[in-house]
Amino acid sequence: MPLATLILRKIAIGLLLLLWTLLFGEIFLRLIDPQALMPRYVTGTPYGIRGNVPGAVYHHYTPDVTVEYRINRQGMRDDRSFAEAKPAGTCRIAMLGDSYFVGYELDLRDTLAHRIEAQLRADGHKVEVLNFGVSGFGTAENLIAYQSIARRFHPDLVLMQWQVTDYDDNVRSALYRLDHGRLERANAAFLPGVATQDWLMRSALYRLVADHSHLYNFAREQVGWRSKQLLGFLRKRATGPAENEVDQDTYAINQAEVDLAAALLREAQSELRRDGAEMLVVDIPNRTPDRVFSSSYDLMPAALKQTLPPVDALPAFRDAARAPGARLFFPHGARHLTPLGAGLLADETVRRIEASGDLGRCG
Amino acid sequence: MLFFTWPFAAFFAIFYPIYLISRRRVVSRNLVLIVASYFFYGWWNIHFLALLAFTTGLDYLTALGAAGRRPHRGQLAKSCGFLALVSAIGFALNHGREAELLLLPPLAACLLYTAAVMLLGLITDDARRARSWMQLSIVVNLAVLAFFKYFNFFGTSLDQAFSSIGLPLGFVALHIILPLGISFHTFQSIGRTIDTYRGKLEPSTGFIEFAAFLSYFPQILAGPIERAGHMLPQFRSIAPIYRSEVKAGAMLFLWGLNKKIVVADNLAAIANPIFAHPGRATSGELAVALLSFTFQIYCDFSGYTDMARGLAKIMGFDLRLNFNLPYFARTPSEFWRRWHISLSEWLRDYLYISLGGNRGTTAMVCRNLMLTMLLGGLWHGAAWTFVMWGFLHGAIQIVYRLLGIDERLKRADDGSLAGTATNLLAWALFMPLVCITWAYFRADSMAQADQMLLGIARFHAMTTGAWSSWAFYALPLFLIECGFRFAPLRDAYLRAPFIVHYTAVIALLYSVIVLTSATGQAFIYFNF
Repeated sequence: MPLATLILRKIAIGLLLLLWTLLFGEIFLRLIDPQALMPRYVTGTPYGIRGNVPGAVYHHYTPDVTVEYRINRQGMRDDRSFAEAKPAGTCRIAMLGDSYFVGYELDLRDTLAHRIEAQLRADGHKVEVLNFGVSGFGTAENLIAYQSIARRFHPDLVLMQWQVTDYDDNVRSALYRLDHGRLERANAAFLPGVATQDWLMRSALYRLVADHSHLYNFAREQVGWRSKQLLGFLRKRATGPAENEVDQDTYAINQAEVDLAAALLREAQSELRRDGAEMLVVDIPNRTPDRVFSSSYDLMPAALKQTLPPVDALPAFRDAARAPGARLFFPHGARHLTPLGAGLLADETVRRIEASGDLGRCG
Repeated sequence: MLFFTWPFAAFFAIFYPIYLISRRRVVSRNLVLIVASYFFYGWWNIHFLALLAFTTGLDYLTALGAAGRRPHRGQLAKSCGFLALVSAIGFALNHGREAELLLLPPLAACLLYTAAVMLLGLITDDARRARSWMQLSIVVNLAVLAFFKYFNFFGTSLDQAFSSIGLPLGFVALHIILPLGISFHTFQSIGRTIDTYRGKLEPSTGFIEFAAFLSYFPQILAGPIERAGHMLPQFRSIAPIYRSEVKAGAMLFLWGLNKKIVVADNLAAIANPIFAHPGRATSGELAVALLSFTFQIYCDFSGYTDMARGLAKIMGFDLRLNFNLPYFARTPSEFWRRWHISLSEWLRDYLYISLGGNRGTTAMVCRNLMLTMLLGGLWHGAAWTFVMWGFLHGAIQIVYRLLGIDERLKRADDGSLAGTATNLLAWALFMPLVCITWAYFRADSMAQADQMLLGIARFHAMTTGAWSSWAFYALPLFLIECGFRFAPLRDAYLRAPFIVHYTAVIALLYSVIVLTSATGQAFIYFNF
């Protein structure tokens, strides 16, 4: 047999085996360990941070739920679009956060943004809630999202999400750093994998695979998770020795991370005050195996906790978790809040907003 | 550095090319193996490198002496020099700290070697001198093992016994770290000395080959407990490494990896919470926990052995089979021919036969069996639960022997339907007994094991969702092992086309990638 034919034959066999390996992997995963299919429709923005793909419509499939996401042309998860100018007599609330605020694994009507708006309106407040949440955001990106996007909509109140991953996210994004206690911008952009994702998303075949392949989603989650670990490790090394780490439900938090997060929250509050707006931190309780839940905000300096007390839904969560079969977080997928968990957190947030009287000033 | 971790992958990736280059000469190959093995062992705790070097030096001399020779100064110098070198490296790696732990004991050990060579050399009678060397090996090795493993256990037990009659001894338990794999390499070392004493083995005059054999990293932590007669010749020559051997070794490693991190670790996640609070569980949950541990212990240990054997194959070495489908055994004697074979045979050859073996009256044979099993239990750990485990196995063996069940089953192996049914019945009757003994092996206390077994015996709420979790991991393993066990299935697989074999490999790979337990566990037998 001629050498060229032999080589071609070997290449063909190799390709067939590769195809069979991928096909077998897809079958294996579907039978043995079905994956949550949760493609992320995010892209780069001119402000150096990620944003939801404007106008995107996509689905997440997990063993618990099937959810449709509709992103408006302004990059918010909403069916409506909003004029930048605030309607007269209306209070505007902007929500800045990650996938919890986007409402991953929740239908639109169950999202925190929708629930808070509905409840406040039911209580007689004329409000609009604008959801600027983007999956993967930390406090640093939330701050930039406010400065570059949300500010244009003149919010009267900003709900700033807080979650345990923010400690690590803020260091990993390296958008800000502390220089002798002073917060300063370190890098202009943090767009991990966005260029590749944008390039791939142009292909209909890729979108089909991303939306429906269990093997692809498994591989992407693994690569993403390991890259995140590696990047976090490298950035942490750059920011200094990780002394005095505190264990927070599988996350090891060090003092440098706490200091940076506190500085970012203080900076966000100052900026908002300069714009005549108020800020309320919404603390997402940590999942714990024994269903007692905990707060990662506890690690913050006492002075910050006094000036920026978070929305604390822990007592409501603990109380609700005692009911047999009550689930506040989904057990599969990315394990976000269930409608019950989101409802409890929304109730507590509304209670705090109404108690603060902030809406009286803008209405 | 566990076989399934990234540090080990990095270690092996660096080691293997160097190893292949070093194979041009036996000495260079063995030196590379020694350095790699001591690095591997010291990765866990550098304090115990000197202990391994001490055993090496001691048994190098005792094997020579036990063979009737007189170790000379050069051989003494090799033992002392090696110990001094390893101790100095350990001391340097410890930043020059803890000289009292890292330098003084090796110095004392060198004095012991010297005293032994001088004093035993005074014995003129060859046979007496050989026996004295053999006894020295046994006494010193067992003393080291006893100190690290059993000192606190016996001290506490004696104190409790005396306290119960109003005479407390005031024993204070020491904080002792158990050196990894000590039970394995101690037994391996003693076995070699006894074999040379018995004339079954020529003592090794090459110190390097013996040091490489005793520290060989694939099996140093959890066996198999190798026989010098099988391994030492492999350290004296360089066998070719065939591609088929590398492929077989890689497959064996992958199969072992699967057993460990997919089956054993996931079953541990089912068993551990129930064993921790047996009082809160239903009979069904307790039964699932016991069955989960039954498969966990098998997959954990045999998985490690498969990985060790696979690595050895890739390196051109042959480690002995340590597990041969033990859960297909129909009788206790068959079980011990299939389970931890290297330990079973060690206990048979060096303990059971020394006690008299099958010679003498029925009562004497029963006594020998029971003593062997009790000591076998104690070998696993310093706790009364392990003694109970050994006792139960001893008792089961005695009952089966008295009833002559093995002999009856030999007649059933005639391929007839009745014979098959008899074998199945024997298996179905024996396996629950094995499971019951595992309750004592796993439990933290006798009371906990009793609570587990009594809880199961109540047969309350036997249906539980946990059965499906157990079956998800245990049943595929059982079915695959059926394929190994029964010749027609095995032959059909071997005759199958390439694509079937290829699919089996990628299935194992996907299984490891996808189903690896989130809560990784160290190997259970590292504790022994």
